[in-house]
Amino acid sequence: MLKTEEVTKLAKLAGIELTPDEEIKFATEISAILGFVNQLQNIKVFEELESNEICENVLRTDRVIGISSAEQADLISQAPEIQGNLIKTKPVF
Amino acid sequence: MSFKYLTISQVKAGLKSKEFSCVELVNYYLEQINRQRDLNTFITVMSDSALAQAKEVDQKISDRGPLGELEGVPIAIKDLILTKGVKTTASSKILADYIAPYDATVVSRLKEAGTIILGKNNCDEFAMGSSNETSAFGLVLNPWDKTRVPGGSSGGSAAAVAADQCVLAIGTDTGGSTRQPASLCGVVGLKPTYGRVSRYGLIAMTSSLDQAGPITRSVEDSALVLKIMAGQDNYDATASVKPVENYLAALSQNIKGLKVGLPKEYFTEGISPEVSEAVKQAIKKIEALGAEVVEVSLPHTAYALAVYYIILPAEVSSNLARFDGIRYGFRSSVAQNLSEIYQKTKAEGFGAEVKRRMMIGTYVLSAGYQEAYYVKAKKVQNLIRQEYAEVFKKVDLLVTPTCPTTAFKLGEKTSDPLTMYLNDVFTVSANIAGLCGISIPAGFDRNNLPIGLQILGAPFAESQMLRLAYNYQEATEWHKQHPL
Repeated sequence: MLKTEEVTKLAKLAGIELTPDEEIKFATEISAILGFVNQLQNIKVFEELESNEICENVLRTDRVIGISSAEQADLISQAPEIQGNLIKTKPVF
Repeated sequence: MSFKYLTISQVKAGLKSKEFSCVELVNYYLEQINRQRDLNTFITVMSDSALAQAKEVDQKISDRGPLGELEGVPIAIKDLILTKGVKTTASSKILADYIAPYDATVVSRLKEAGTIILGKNNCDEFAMGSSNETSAFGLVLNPWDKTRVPGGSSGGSAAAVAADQCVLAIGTDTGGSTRQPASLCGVVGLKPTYGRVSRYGLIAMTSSLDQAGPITRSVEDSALVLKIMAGQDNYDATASVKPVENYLAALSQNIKGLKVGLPKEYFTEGISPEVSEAVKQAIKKIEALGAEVVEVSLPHTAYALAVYYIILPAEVSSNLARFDGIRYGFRSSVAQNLSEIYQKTKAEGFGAEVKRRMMIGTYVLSAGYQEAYYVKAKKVQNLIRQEYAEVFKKVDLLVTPTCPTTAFKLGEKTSDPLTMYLNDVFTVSANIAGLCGISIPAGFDRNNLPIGLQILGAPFAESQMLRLAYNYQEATEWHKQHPL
C-alpha cells in the first residue's frame, strides 16, 4: 500500500497538484492497480528485451515544409495568453 | 421515403437516383441528433457546414460532376480526432476551447471521399475509460436502455450510430475502444492492425497501441470505410507501406474451409452465461457456414490486461505532459509562476482517471521501478505477441466474446477503477499483440441488450476477418434490430 507521502511525491513528479482528499483516494486506488499488474512478476521471460515490433519505421525525406503566416497566427492564437506575436507565460520564480 | 438506418450503398443509390436530396438527408440526421439530445452523443454539432456541404453535393449531382466514393454520406468523428477549424476537446476541460489547426489524416481522407461531417462525438476523457463516464462533457446514455452505459471510450460514436444519428462514425481503439462500445450498442466496431491506419491528428493516448477505426451498422460499410482510411502516410512513420486491399471485394467469398480458433482462455469465469451462450450459438452458425472450428490455447493472454495497464499509463504520462498550459488549451488563472502553471493547470484541467493514469505511468517509469514494471511488461508483451503468431500458424482467425457482459448500469463501476478495467479483458490482447479485430452483433440478453462477437485476425488479415464477419452477418438478423 502506497503511503500518502509517496503519492505526493508521485504527483510532484507528474507535475500535478493534488488536494489532500485526492491523495488519500489515489493512494488506495493506485495501490490496487499496482497490486493487479504485479501478477507479471510471476512470469518467466528472457533476460533481454528483444524488439518484436510488427511495424518498421517508414521514413521520408527530411525537409522543411514550412507553414504560412496565417497558419502561424492560428497556432499562436491558441495560447492562453499572448502579447503581440508572442506567447506569454508567468515568471519562472 | 424513410431515411431510417441507411447503409452507405443505400445513401449513394438514393442520392444518385434523386430519391432524396443530400440536404434532406443531412436534415434528417440533424433532426435525429436534436430529438435525442438526452443521449449526449455529440459535443459539437456542425449544422451549418454540414448543410452547406450538402447543398454542394446536390449541385454536383445535378451537374453530373465526378462523385467521391462516399459522396454525401453524413458521418460523425470522435472528439479525439482533429478536425480543422472545429473544436476538438478530447472530452477534457483542458482542451474545452481548443480549435484544431489541421485535419487528422483519417479526416482529410474521408473529406476527400466526399463525406459530410455532422459533428464531434462525446467520448471518455482522452479516451481513458470503458463507459464514457470520464468525459468532462457529461454521460452518454445507451440508446437500448438509457439507464446503462454505451461503453467506451468511443461511447458517443457507438451510441450515435445505434440511434441513427449518422450513417457511421469514426472512433479510436487503444484497448477495445471501438469494439467494446460497438458490442454494448449493437453495432459493428473495427480496430485495424497497428500501422494500417495513420495516427496523424489523433490526440495521442498510447502511441504504440492507438488506432482509429470505423463504427458502422453493417460489415460492408466497415469494409468500405476502412479502405478509405487505411494506407501509408508521410506524417506517421508507423503507418505501413503495405498496399491497402479491396476489403469490400473480399466479402463475397464464402468461408468454406476457413480455420477458426476458439481460445479456451476467453471462456472462463467472469463471463455472463448469456454472453457465453450467444457466442456458442454464433460458433455453431460459423461451423454450419463451412468453417472448421478448433479449440486453441493462449496461456499468456490472461496477462494482456496487466501488460496494458503498465504500457498504457507509461505512455500516457509522457504524452499528456504536453498539456502544460503554455502553448494551447486551458491555463489555471491562479498560477503565479511557471511550475504552478504546470501543476495547477493539470489539477484543474484533468479529471480523476487521467490524473490517476499519469501518476501510475510516472511510477512504472521511475528509476527504481522501471525494470520491474515497464521493461517487464514489454517483455511479456513480446511473449503474448509470439503466442498469437504461433496460433495464427494453425488457424486463420479467432472468435471470442467482445465483452464479458452486456451494457452495465451508469455509475455501477465508477467507484472502483480496477473493476472498470476488467471490462477490457477480451479486447486488449488485439492491441497488445498488434492484431486486427472486429465486434459484430451476435444476439441479445434477456433485458434486450446487445451481445457482441469478436473476430481477431493476424496482423494485416483484415480482408479475411471482414469476410467471416460478413458471412456471419448475412446468415443472421441481429444487425437488423435497432433500439426504439
